[in-house]
Amino acid sequence: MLDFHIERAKVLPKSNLWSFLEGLKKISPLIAPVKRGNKTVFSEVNDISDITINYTRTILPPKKFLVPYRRVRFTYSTDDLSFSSNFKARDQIIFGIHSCDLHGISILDSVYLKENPDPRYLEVRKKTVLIGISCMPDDYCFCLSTGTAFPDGANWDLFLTDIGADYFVSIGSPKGDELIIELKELFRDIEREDLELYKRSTRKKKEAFKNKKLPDLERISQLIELEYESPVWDEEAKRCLSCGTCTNVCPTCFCYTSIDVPDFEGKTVKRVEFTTSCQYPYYSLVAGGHYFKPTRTARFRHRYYHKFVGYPYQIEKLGCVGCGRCSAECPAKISMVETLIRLRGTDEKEPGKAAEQTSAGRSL
Amino acid sequence: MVRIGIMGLTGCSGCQCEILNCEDAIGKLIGKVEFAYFPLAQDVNDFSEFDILFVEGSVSTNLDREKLIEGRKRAKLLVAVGTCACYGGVQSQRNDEASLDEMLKAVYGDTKLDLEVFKPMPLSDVVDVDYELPGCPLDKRQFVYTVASLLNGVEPFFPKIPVCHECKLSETDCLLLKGIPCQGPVSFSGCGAPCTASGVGCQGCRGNCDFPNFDEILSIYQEIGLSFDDSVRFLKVFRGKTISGLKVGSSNEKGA
Repeated sequence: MLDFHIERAKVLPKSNLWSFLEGLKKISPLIAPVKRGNKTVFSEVNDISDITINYTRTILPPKKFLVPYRRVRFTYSTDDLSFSSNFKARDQIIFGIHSCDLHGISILDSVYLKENPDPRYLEVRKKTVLIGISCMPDDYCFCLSTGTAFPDGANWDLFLTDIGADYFVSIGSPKGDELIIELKELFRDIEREDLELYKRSTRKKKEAFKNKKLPDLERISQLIELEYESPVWDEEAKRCLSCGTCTNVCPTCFCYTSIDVPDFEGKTVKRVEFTTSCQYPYYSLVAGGHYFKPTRTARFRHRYYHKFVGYPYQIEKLGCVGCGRCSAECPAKISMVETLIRLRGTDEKEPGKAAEQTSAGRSL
Repeated sequence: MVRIGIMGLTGCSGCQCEILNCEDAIGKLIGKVEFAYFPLAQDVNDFSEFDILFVEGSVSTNLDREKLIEGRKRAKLLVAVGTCACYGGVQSQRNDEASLDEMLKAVYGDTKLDLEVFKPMPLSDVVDVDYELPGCPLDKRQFVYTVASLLNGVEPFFPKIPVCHECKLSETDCLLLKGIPCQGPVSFSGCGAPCTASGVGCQGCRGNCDFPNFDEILSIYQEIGLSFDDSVRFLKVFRGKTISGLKVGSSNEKGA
């Protein structure tokens, strides 16, 4: 039975980390960041020694374990139109999620559960334990601007903050509390000194952004609305390959499409849903061959518009968590930060020269 | 019973072999459909009429053309399979660079050919094509899906989205960012991006995605060290007719 007295926080000595992970794996299937080539990906782990603790960002966000990129919604019979689904959510623990991705999941929660809740998402979410870990930013990160540099709210269960020799473990939910109780011999109580170290680690992360280019997101919704006709969109979109990488790697994008796949007999039909992207022309294609977003500029702008105007309107949060994936993975090296800075006109270039410098800057 | 025909024109027969490799699907199909014509796989063939006729290969001789026109007359649905049938194939990559006489001279010298030969062209240059399944070879899953859909009167759905979609969702590290020439961003997906997963840049064998941004991809190739001419040649290998006369510097936006 659950002791309903959530502790505020505990301390996990670093020497106990691997026992902690081993303990988690015994409780339910464990998903964690593992190395693949030069990059890191979230993957189910069989051997905890595969887990990478220090990483900057994974190629895909942990979203893929909540909403698979390709899923069969149901199958139906063409004889009597009866529906069936063998979907069953399983218990899973996702370990090693950075703060931005936890915020990303919180946005998905709002999208999927606020109005017309998706019962399948709810079931998966109930059976998933989210354990975060602190991180340091690289040049693509701008979570300090989006207000997602530190875990917030209560959509996660545990959060480990590196405070030197130990991890400061914040407890976010009864599920997290339960895990601590289950593995209590690995933790010790917090002391004043730990709290000081915890504060210091917060300051350290903030300071790490000091020399980085950060976008000013103050009143960003209005900015995007007012700059709807700005030439910046055309200039940036010119380089856009419409490859959809930015949305596919985004922790908050959720658009999908679905098709019906019949079997040879035509007796049963599978309704298959798969992720799609607003950057693809066919996304806005409707009957009669009309494209609602006919140009690359329209599609390019649409992503920013949705992130910074659409999401706040829908769920009262920005749709961007500053994880930097869209910029880091873009084959054309289009940077979200750069675009936002240019839109605001704070790139400190003479207006006429801005375009030239962008194209010249690319060949360097 | 539904009558299916599978025939080949100028090509390597790789796509027909790939169809033969769909053992599970063929096992399920036999008994429901009749493979009336499939010379690569069976001895007894009947070229009378078809519900669905799959045609592999490009049209490059008068024999190809006659057979294709004949096939079209006898088929309710005609499906082009493979890049040769859809776009002309690798054999058509230099169609816009030399005349037919120059090509014949280079390959056959002064030998007189006893058939009429022309520059390799896609099926759609000669007859109406109902569906196109590009790829070198075509993708087995797409073939099975197309057959299942057509047998049940459902339109098969192939959004022309880029290979990057499947590549990124399989968490493959971007090859272009590593400096490896890759045609993923301008190529039609559906293959599952096996090449990039094994570290080989996409060769664009499935042709163009919707509104490919050739200007940007060419500038990326040059940034990673390819000459302009090599960049264009690289793009032309599989695209056949769909890229001949590529105009660089013009916007590829079509608007709608």
